[in-house]
Amino acid sequence: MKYYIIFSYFIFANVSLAQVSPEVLLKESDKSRGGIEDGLSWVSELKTRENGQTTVRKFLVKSKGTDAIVEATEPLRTKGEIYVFNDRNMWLVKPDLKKPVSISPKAKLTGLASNGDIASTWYSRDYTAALEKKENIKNESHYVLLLKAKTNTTTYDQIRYWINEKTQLATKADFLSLQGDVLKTAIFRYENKIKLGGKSIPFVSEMYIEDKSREDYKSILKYIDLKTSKYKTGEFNINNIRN
Amino acid sequence: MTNTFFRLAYRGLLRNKKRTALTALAFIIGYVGLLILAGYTYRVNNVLLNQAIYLNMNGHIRIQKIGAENYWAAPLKYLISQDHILAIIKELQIFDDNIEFVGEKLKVASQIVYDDKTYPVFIDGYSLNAEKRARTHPKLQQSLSGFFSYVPTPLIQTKVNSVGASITPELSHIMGIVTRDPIAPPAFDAQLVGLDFESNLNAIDIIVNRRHLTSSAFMRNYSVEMDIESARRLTNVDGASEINIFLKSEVNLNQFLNNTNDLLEKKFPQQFKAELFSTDEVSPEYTGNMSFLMVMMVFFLIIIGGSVILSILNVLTMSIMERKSEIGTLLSLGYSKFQVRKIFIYESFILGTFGIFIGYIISLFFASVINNLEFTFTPPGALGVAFIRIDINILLGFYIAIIMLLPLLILSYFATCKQTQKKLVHLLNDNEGGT
Repeated sequence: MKYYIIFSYFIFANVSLAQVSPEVLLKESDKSRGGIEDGLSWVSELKTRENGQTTVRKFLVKSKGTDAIVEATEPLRTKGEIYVFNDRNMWLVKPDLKKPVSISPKAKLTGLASNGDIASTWYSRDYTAALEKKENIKNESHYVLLLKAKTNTTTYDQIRYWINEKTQLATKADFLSLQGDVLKTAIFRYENKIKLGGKSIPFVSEMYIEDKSREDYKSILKYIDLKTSKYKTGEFNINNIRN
Repeated sequence: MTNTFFRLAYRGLLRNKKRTALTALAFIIGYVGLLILAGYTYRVNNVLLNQAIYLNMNGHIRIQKIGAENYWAAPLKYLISQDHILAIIKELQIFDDNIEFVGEKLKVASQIVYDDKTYPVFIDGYSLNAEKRARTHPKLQQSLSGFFSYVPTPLIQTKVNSVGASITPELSHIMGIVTRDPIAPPAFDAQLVGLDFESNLNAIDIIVNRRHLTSSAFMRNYSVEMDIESARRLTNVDGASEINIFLKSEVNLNQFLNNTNDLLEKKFPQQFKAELFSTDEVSPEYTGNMSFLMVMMVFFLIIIGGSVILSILNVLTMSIMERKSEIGTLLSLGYSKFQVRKIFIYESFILGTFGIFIGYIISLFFASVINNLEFTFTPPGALGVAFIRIDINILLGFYIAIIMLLPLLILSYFATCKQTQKKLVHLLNDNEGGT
């Protein structure tokens, strides 16, 4: 009887893991991190502590689907800098540049945030997901997914992603190197709300990032003043911004 | 009295013409070999030295913040602020008599973007006046001229009244820009993008209108040269990574270094340090190449010098043994042992001086022939194709002469010593035993 119970546990546990689609989980969690077709805008405040020094940068983010425009607003000397996301391509536009400069989402933007972190998240488009295991964090059950980049234009090569079973919100991410070493860890909080299809859903309010190799390196990305907005077609096109 | 000894020595040499000619020949061959080798080493040293000082813009003395070996990990921490640059330059005015000019350098790690593709680069931003003076400095131009096919030029002004940037032909090739003129190709627009010194993303436009070669093969795929103001715009700072002091020819480098370090310690305690260009930290290519060359030089010095000295020692011993009765006669005539040794040392001196004179002329001839034949080779890590050039001058000839002459005189002294210790009767009876 004892062996039967143990055997049944493993059978059912595997069935319950197998029933969960990692792609669906990822798609659901993306919605609360900006991965939606509707127009959104918010203010990103990025506070960074490096080498004992604290810096603050602010950005106005406008996002629609896989496109986004991120305007630097603070400090004053960065005003006028615009980061443009068109699908998987990314550009930096500056008043003193003759033409937009193509940049990599992988490159560091400021502090521990990469360029790709600042706008909305479309992990379900950029990564293939595999369900690794289930894990309890603070007495809440989480699915642990291993995300692998589909192309080399993604922000990270691999991500270990914790998604709350009940809320389907991503609560933690380990950003991994190609060899699987943890480079950075991020913790997410969801105190914002947006209306999506007539339903109010939680939206990310804070992304806390810490460097695993350097204890003194930390960044907090806050999502403030979240609004749904309507944007014209072509508003995010790099050629229009250039003009 | 000295004249008498010289006369006797001269006669002694003429009396044994064949032996004298053989000894002189051995000496001349050794002298020519060493002088040609030294002439090549001297020329290479001259090229590498001027490359390290003027081409790589290190100056004779480099001033950095203490701990600047960690510059790449925390560039802002080890950046010399504009206020400090001005203050240091002001303090250095007390050495104005020794200083030819002063430059500033800002080193930046960045990426060059061309045709939507990105390539990692290391940028050296130079203060333009210093860069122009260094790259056109007669010492650099003279030392490289005829030695390398590459002659450096300063950064070039663009049509829009800014200074263009420079990349290596190798980087140009990687970027897919292949031109017929490898050094002065048509200009093209590009962008530099990277983190500023406060770790924020930044980008600037540049016009690339020049190619340059680096003295380090490793750097060729990554090197960008530009004016320091553009490098400052990219990094959003107004300082420099280092201050480079170019000195006048006659300055004693070590003394100047000590004076500068004393001054820095007094005025800016525990903040800055000055270093000579010829250290591993400042010019690893220079010290590495020179160490290798010196090891080779010493090796050949031992081989050539050793063979020649052994040959001469052999000839001398034989000749002194053959001249036992002559030594006995001189001693019986009342010459002291010391005076007899003196005659033989004078013989060697006359022989050596003659050999040096002839050897120097032969070396000049050989050097001229080798230089005119323009043998080329491509040394690893060097500035393109190099010509084998030999620089011979009187001072070098003098040093090699000392190296050759001194052992010759010492050897003749000891060879004679042994014979003059013998009893007169044995020396005069030359048939007895031979030794």
